[in-house]
This record gives sequence, C-alpha cells and structure tokens, in this order.
Amino acid sequence: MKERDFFVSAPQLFCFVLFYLLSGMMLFCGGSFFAALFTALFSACLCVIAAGICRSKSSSSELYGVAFGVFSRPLRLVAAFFSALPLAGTLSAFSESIQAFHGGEDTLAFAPLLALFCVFGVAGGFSRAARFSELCVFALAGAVLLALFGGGDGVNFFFGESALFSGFDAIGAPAVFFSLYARCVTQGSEKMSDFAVNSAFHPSPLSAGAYAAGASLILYAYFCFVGNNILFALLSWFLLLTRLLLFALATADLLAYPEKREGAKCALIAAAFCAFWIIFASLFGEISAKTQVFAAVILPCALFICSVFVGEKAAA
Amino acid sequence: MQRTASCVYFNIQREYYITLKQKFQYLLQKNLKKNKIFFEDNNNYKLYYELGDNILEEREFERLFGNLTSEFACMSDFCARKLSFGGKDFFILYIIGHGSKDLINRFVIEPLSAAYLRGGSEFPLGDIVTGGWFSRALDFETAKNTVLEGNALIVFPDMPPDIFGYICAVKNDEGRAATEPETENVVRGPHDGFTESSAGNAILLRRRIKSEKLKSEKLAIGSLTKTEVILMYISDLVNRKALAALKRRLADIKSDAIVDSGSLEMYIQDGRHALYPTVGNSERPDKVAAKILEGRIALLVDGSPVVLTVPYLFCEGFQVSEDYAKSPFFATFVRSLRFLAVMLGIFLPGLFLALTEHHMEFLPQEMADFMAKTREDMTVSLTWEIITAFLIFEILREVGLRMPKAVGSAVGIVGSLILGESAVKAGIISPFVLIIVAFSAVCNFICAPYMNPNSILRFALILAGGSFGLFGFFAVSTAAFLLGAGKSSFGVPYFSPFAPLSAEGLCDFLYMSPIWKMKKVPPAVSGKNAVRTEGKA
Repeated sequence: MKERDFFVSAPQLFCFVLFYLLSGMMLFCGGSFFAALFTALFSACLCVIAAGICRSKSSSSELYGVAFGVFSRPLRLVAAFFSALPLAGTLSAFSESIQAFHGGEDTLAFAPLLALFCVFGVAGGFSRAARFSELCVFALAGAVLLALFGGGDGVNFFFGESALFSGFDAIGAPAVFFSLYARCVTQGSEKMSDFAVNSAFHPSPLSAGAYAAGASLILYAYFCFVGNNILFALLSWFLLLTRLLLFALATADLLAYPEKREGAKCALIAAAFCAFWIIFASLFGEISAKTQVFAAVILPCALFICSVFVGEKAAA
Repeated sequence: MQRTASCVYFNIQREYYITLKQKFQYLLQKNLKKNKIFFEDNNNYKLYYELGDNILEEREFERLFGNLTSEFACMSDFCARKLSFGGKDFFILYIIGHGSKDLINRFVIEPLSAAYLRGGSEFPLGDIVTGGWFSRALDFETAKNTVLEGNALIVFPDMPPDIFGYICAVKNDEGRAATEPETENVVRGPHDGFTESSAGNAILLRRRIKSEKLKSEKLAIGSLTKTEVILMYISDLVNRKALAALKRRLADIKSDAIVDSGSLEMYIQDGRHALYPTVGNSERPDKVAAKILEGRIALLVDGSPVVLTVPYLFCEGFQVSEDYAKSPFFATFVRSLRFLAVMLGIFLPGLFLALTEHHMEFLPQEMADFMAKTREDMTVSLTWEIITAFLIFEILREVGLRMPKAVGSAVGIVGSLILGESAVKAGIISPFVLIIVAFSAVCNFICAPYMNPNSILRFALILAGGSFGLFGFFAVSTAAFLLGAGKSSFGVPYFSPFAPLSAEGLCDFLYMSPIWKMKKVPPAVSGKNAVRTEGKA
C-alpha cells in the first residue's frame, strides 16, 4: 500500500462526513427534526474545530503527540476506546437493521461479515473507503429519485431533551472528525494523489465538512418525507457500512496505523477491537452468545492481521 | 592453453564462439588495451582482435557463412541465394514467404545488377540497395534474428570486419485487408479495422495522428516467438507513471511464447486474478487513436488484430466511438440506457430472487399472487429454476459462439424457441423466470467488455440472494464495490471519474457534454492538465 492511500481529498471528506452523519441520523434521530438539526450543528462545529486544530498535521498520532507530548500514547488509547465503542454499537445496530428484514432473533449472525468488511476496508487504507463512499453518492442519487415513488412517515418537530442526546449519539465519536481532517490533504501537498492534483475542484476541507453537515440534514428530512422503499433500505445499509468503516479507520489511526505497520500494532488493533466488542456486548446483555461474539470478532481480526502482513510482505 | 609473449590461444568449441566474443568485448571495456589476443578453435575458427581504439576482426567468410546457415538447418523455407557479379559473390539469406520475393528482386537484385552493369563489381552496397530500410547487423544474433523476422540479410566475402551482414527490409506484409471488425460495428464512422500486421496497424494509427509526438517503441516478447510488440503514445500527453509501469511489466514477462494480445493482456493486467478488465482492447483504429489522444498507450501485438490500450477505466466500457458523432442529448440518453441495462443485467436476477424467496412482503400483492399462480406446477425451487435457466442460456451462448455461422443460427433457434418452450411446458422454468432471465441476458450484451465478468458477478448475486435474501445480495454487491474501489489500472483509479469524483471526467461518462466543451484531456488518465480545445467560437 502506498503512503497516499492513507490520505483523503476534500471532496472525499465531504462524502465521508455526509454519509457518516446521514447514517447516524437514520440510526438515532428517529424522525426528529431537532435531533437531526442538532446533529448537523454539532458536526459543523466539530468540523470547524477539527479543521483548525488539524491544520498541518498528517495523522491523529501526530496531532496527539504535538498536543499532549509524553501523555499522547495513553490518551490515544483512551480515544481509541471511545471510537471503538460506537463502532461496536453501529455493528450491533446494523445487524439489527438487517435482522428486521430477515426475522428471527439471532442478531449477531450478521456481525461477522460486517466486521469482515470493516477489516477489509481498513486494510485498504483511507482511499479505498473514500472511494466506496464516493460510489455511495450514485446509490444515493438513485435512491433520491426512487424515493419519490415511496411513502415516508415525515419528520416530527417536537423538541425535547432526548433530541439533544440523539444528536450526540448520531455524531458518535469526535475522533472520526479529527482523524478525517488530519488525513485530509489540500492543494499543494505532496501527499495528494495525481488525480486530485489535476482535478479542477479544490474546496477547502472546512467548507466541505460544513456543507456535508447541511446536506445531511436536508437529505434526512427528504427521506423522512418520501423515503421508505426497498432500495432505500439497501442504501441505508451502504451508509451504515461507510459509518462502520470510518469508526474502524479512526480507531486504527489513533493506534498509529499505518505509520508503524508492525505486526504488534495490527495485533493491538485486533485485540482492542475484540475487547471492545465483548465489553459492549456485556453492557447490553448480549454476552449470552459468547461463541458468536468470538466468531464475529476473532475471525475477521485474524484475517485483518493476515491481510496486513501480506500487504507488508508484498511491499517489501 | 598456450601463452606467448604477445598472443593467447584457446582451444574452444564452436558454440562458445559467441560467448567468448562477448567476454572478450567485456575485457576490452576493462581497458586491457596493450595485449593482442587470438581466439582459435579446433576447426580454425578464428578471431583476431587488435586491441586499442579500433577493433579489427578477420574472419574466414566461408566459416561464418556456414555457421549462419547451419543455424537454419532443417528449415525447408530457408533460402541462401548466391549471386555473382564479375567474380564477386553475394549471398542473400531470407525465409521464403516471410520475406517477399518481389521485394528482394526489386530492392536488392535489380539494383545490384544495374550497379554492376554501370560500373563493375566495386560499389558501396548501402547506396545501391533501395529497400525501405537498410542497416547493418553488427553481431551474430542480430543477423540471425533479421532473417527470422522476414528481412533479407546480404553477406559477401570482403565485408568490413566489424559487420556481420547488411539488413534489407523485405518483410512480406501481405495480409487481409483492413476490413470493418465484426465485433465493433458502427452505423456512422470509419469502416476500417486492424489486421494481424502490427506494422500495418501502426500505419493506420499514424494516418490518423500525423504528429511527430506520436512515438512508437518496438519490443520483442517471448523467448521462442519473439513476438513484435509496438508501444504507441503521444509524448506530451502520456501518463509517464503508467508508461513506466507498462514497460516494467513487459520487461518482467518471462515466457517462451506470446501468440496473441490476449495472453499479453493477462501478463500486464493489474492484479493476479482480476475479474474486470484493466486493459482495454479494440479492433477499431479510430477508437484507439482517440484513446491515444487522451493520453493512453496502445500496444500493437504482431499477429493479433486486437490492439490493447492502457490505462483502462470502468467508464470506458460505456463509451462508443459513434457517441461523439451524435447529438450530446441522444448520446447521454443512450449511455444512460447502457448503464441502466448493465446494472439490471447484473443485479436484477439476484434482487428478484432475494425478494421472491425471502422478502415476499416487499412485492405488490398482485404480483406476488400472480407469481404464486405461475409456480404452482413447478418441480424445482425458484433459486434452482433461475440457475438452471442461466446455465442453459450460457451453454447456448457458448455453443452459438463456437459453432460455424450456418449451424450457429440453427442452434439459436433450437435453444431459444424449442428448448425454452419445452422447459416451460415441462415445469422446469416458469414464464416469469424466463422473462427475467432473458431480459437480464439481453441487457448483459449491451456492454461487450463486461459481458463475461458480469455473468460471473450475476451468478454470485443469484446464489447469495437465493441463499441469504437481501443480506446476501447486499454482502456480495458491497464486496464487489469495495474491491472495485481499491482497484486501479496502471496507477489510475479504476472507478474514476465517479470514484474519485472528477468534474471533467463526468462530462464524458453518463452525461456527455458537447465535444467542443471537453476542453481538457481527461486528467485522470493522462495525469496532466493538457488543453484539448479552446471551445467553440
């Protein structure tokens, strides 16, 4: 994998933020306009802060290193923990969403494959996930058109404190924003791909994030009014996968992957991923299916480690 | 081995002759300039080098000639023709049929004869021989390969010591006419096509791009076949990284034979087990010329009418050269149709199966009832029904392709009409499934480059959708998208211009802007910001 595969352009950041927020809204806002509004506002603020702080930084580890010096490592681990928690939450919610279509009670049955996708996405660096999110734009365009033939439930305008909390839930982990902005390259950077260099469109990362927040609010409201068909369900799965990939990438970034691609780091990611999943499952009473938890986590983690090692070997 | 004050003698076998010569030249490079060294074998096979700035080589002509002709022993089509002009002998070596007799007569024999009649046997050969290309073979291998390539090698006793012979291009380029390729028909556009001659194909491209910036590099690939491969590109537009990657991959080919551009494609494509093509191909000179003008590199393989182009992006499969001669509105409409058809061809059977087998509640009630009614007498499950229908279709398609044309149409009739109708009557395939399969199959034909990979992906989606419903369908399509997103062709993202997004590229994908509005060469391909047109006045 090339170094450039770990960086994203501003249009890719736009797609990432848009789908991350839209999927968060779909998961947590429950048709509440104010919850979605708060999500958009919070995330826009986060974008402003992250764009300011992450300027001239190229990774989360560098950002933490500059800010916290010797304490950066434990703090990064804590941050990784807090970005892995919503990762596990999204994985569970994603599985439940699929379960809703299939019936039955075995929610975690879908988790192994989702986790595998997650691992596969991380192994491909930021660029693969970013291109996947760009492909989702076309799926979104199709869903927007077809949604006109569907029938939505509409949005509710009741304001309550739950809307505020839903907004926080939808945002998930702020580490995602910091990681994205740290990895976002602007015009003139050596890390920018040839493709991005020659592109005529070079928005600033700050405006890309802010516009994405606004666009997510509009799209959420639109789908609440006219959505609800089978293609919309499939689209929401694609968005959820983008969200999952982002959590995984942010966690990996905080654990200093890919700058130090030693096996130890990869094992750490795998172990952390495994541990977080078990913690999350126990918190929510889903620890009963321990075997499935391990099957859902250990197999993809092992595959992840293998894929990284194979990648390193090929690069060497 | 004997060593005297000034000379070294080696007793060597004939086959070591070339090796020793090469080693000796290496010694020369190491500045061993003050020795005189002779190589002499058991059969008086002799080399004499006077060390210093000038290298002189004395050979016994007959020995050399015998050595050369022995390389072509047991080749009934090899010809060593002797000509004598006033006691001076000339030998013309060529392969009958590969080298053109007519050209040898016109370019070599007649000029030699005329020159002798004018002024006797003393004349500079280079000024006399009138072939299109005339050069010197400076070593034994070049002399041998010259003959094998279909050229003529002219040798005579009193050649300068550092020359093994003179090469005259008389290659027989006779082949079929540049007729329109059957695989890429157009209603409006040029009707010529590439042939099996790489040199002829290069000319077809040169006729379209009359610029000194159109460069061509010739390579020989395959230790046995020594297949001629010509790279053609425009020096100002070509993506340098892609060109370097291509040359590296070509140099890395360790094979004895490259007999067709298809096998070369397998060697140079990105990834070991790529499902979708990352190397483009075409039999149309206008299409390849247009691709070269966008910064791509063309590979012309001798013996193949299919010219390869790199980098190759997913969007190229939807572009047809005729689109550029149509109204942009209609071109946009047609391209959108192609894209929709390809998507339906891949996803429709899998989605249909996932919905009908696992999520019937998503279908309208009338449709669900109708389907249940048509499947009342069915003996197999819907999944097997669709798989069977597609397998029958794929077999018929393959048979139709391989059979002679006259029989192929009969097979088509038997397959489509008799077999299809019988299958419905026998309760193996329901009419509803037949419609889905037939429509999906027809949709797949709209985009020829992706016909085969789409069939594989479609089967995967059918199996996943049939086994696991929407989740299986989603899982396989997501895996395909994720794999595709990480894919690239010679360093250019495969899904560009839509992933990564590029405004310039999108003007020539589903939406086609007027050609005068496409002001820049696609930056994704060329890696440059080159201007193509200033627009329309």
